[in-house]
Amino acid sequence: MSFHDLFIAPLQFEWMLRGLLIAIFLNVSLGIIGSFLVLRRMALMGDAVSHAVLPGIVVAFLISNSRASLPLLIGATGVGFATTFLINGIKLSSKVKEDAAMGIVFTSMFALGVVLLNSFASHVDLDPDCVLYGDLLGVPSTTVWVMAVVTLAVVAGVILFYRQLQVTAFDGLFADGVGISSNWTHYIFMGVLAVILVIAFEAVGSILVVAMLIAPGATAYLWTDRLPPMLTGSAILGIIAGVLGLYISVWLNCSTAGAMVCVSFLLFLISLIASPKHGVVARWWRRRKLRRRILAENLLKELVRLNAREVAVSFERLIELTRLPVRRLQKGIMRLRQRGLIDRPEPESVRLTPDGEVEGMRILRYHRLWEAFLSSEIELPEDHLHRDAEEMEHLLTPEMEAQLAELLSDPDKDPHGSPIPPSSSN
Amino acid sequence: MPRKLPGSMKVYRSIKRYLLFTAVVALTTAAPAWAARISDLQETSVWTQIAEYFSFSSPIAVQTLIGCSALGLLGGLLGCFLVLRRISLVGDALGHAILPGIGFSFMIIGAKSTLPLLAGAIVAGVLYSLVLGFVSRQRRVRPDSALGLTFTAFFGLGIVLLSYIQNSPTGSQAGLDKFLFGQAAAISMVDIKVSIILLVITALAIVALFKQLQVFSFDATFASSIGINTALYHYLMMVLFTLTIVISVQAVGVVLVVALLIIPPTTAHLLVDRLRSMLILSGFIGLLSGAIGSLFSYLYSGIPTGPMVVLASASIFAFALLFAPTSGAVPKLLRKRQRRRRTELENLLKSLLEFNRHRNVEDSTPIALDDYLRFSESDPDWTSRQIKRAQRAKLLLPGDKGDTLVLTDAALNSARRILRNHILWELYLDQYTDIAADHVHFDAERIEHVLTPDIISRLESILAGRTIGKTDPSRGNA
Repeated sequence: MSFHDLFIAPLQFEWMLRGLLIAIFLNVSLGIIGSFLVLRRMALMGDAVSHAVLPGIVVAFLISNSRASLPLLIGATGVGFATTFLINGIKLSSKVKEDAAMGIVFTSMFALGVVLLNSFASHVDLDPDCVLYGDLLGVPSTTVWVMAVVTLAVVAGVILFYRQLQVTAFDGLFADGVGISSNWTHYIFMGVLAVILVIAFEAVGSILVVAMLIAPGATAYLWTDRLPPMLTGSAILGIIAGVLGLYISVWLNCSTAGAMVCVSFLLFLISLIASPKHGVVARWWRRRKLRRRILAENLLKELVRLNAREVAVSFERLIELTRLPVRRLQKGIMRLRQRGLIDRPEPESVRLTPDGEVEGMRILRYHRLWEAFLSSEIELPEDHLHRDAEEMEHLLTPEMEAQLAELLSDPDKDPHGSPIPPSSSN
Repeated sequence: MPRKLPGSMKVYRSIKRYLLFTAVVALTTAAPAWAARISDLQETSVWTQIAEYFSFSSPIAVQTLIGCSALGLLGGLLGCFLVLRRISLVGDALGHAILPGIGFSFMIIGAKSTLPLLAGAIVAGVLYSLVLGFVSRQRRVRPDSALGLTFTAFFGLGIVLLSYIQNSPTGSQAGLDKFLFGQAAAISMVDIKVSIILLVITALAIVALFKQLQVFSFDATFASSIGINTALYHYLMMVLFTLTIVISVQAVGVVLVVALLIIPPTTAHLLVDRLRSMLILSGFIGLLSGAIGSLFSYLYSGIPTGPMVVLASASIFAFALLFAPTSGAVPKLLRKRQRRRRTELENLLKSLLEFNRHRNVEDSTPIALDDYLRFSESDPDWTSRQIKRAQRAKLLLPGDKGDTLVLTDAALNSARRILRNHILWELYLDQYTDIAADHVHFDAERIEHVLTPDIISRLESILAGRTIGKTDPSRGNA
């Protein structure tokens, strides 16, 4: 199988081109709207609404007896709205909690839809299986145009109302404070969501669509902290998942929506592991670096305490004092030697270099300064100071050091009576 | 006088109330209505079929009934712990997530037999819990996104596998699509045995560990602080949930299986407060919905069972939501109306008494209606409506001359009590709170109707020795 066979050859079919267009339009609008759902922590509301519009869709089909989109849109959007009202109403007027209210309302609505669909299956041009995973390649070309228009409208709407959406997505109270009604934004947003879910229904069904809503947004959120790149990123991720999923479904002859969701989730997992800022690997790497720095700083501090600038200290003594495993100690000493902070006059003992002494003094100063602060300002008892200082000594910055020194008017003794080394910058 | 809401607010509230009401009613009535419609298409009448069903002559019907009822009971019992811990949607996620397990084990075995499929589903369920745990631990992924993402991903994989199997030459006859919405008639003896074993285990676990489970479900933090191993109970529950979902999938399908776990307990929780009674009631509601669902699936074999069971229990839920004695919407509405009417009546009597005192005549002097209407500031229509109600309640009697009214003794007592309450409260606000004298009247207008005897006696003892009578701070003559 060559690249040509896999990717170019299917393009000669008209349905494939149409499928690609649908996949792109659909995933762009779902991805953008979904980003806001993710930020507003309403992912499950999206799930509930997408299930609940089913009876609306079926009834609209029954009444209009066509796949024409307008009655469908109105019927289902109405039901979508009713669902949010119903969930809210049950939550507010009884002791039923939100999760149970949501679960009950959407399963019941969905069940109603399935029963309606099955009882009138012979009257409607709607396949029961379609409910679950849609039929992306069977969508008529008029729907493609509707999707294109809706996608453009979504993009334009986000650009036009960017301020309002941004503020309400992050902080509804603040939005109300600056005169943007979070309530109105919420209802308009739910309306748009319902419209998109209805349009997506024919192509991808009403369950898997949730993944297409949330996954691109949640994935983009792993890569960036700012909203514009998040929106763009989620649109791009949506397109990648859509196109790749479509190809996979053509190769394997399986459900298109299912394949898209699998690709989407794969992209999410890859990002979760590999994202430079919030990824598992990056976080593990940062933790490792911190662990190493703490080890090095602890060793230097210990050596300063032992006056190792003048006298060489044996490994055994260090192990006895720090209670570190031998291997970790050896590795720590090796790294300190590489940085030129200690040297090894004999095979089994170490001595501080001038640079190492400066560094060790700094840590010791931070440690004792923090103890002095805890004792005089927080008034902790003397036997509680050491443990806290053991952690803070690694986290203090030169600015904080300066502030502490100023606050405590540059003390020269810590609460235990040991001298605080002078600041290295003097 | 009736308190007036701003017009827009009133409209908004009533629209909201009616929307809620109609939606719930629609939900309740739709199921039987459509069912009736469907039955028109069938040859034999529904009643004959129902009679046939309950004669237990058909072994398949009996099997279905026992299976569905057992599953309903199981779901009702276990679901209580899901609902109380507010993790209902985790159940939903778990339900969807087992689909790829079913697909995989079919691909390996190549046939549809209960135990391997169940094993596959359990593996998928466990795998899903691990993935969900991993994703939820990432601080950057919000909990709702984590849940929504992972279960749809598993479900998507399941759909891919199922559609792949169905499109392959050997798989089209597999009938795996029954796993999506369920088919109760497909319940086998093995399924029934497994679910009864599970039911016994669950019941024993609940009886033996009742105290611990109770504390754990209501307050997990407290439970761990008194030394209960919450992780152990969490995983025990998760295992039981997974097993229940897996065994129920055959009958109700992966998409709607969670309804079996959350609707009966939520309904029971509306009706009772104690865990013990909630468990019993919830189990019973589950059993009932299972039985109704199996009956429907027997009557209309073309329609999947899952949605039928869900609609049966949703109808019970909607009924409870509307008519539960203390928290139901209808009793609440009735109580509110009753209270409003009493307040209106009391306001009328008070106003009539004030009129007589204003004229400096005896309290029981007959009142000419026209004079009173001129004196009163309230709407004449409203006033005459209230007067009619008061006459029906034998609180007002027609006087000797035409169009006059006499307050009966009961009415006088009630009016004096309200007036006294009003003054007491104004005095209290005036003396003990920093509310301006011209603000106390409005507050007292509302509180005068709800003061209980013991609050009144406390007010009296607080205010003892102060001048009570015609002095009243808001009138400025104290």
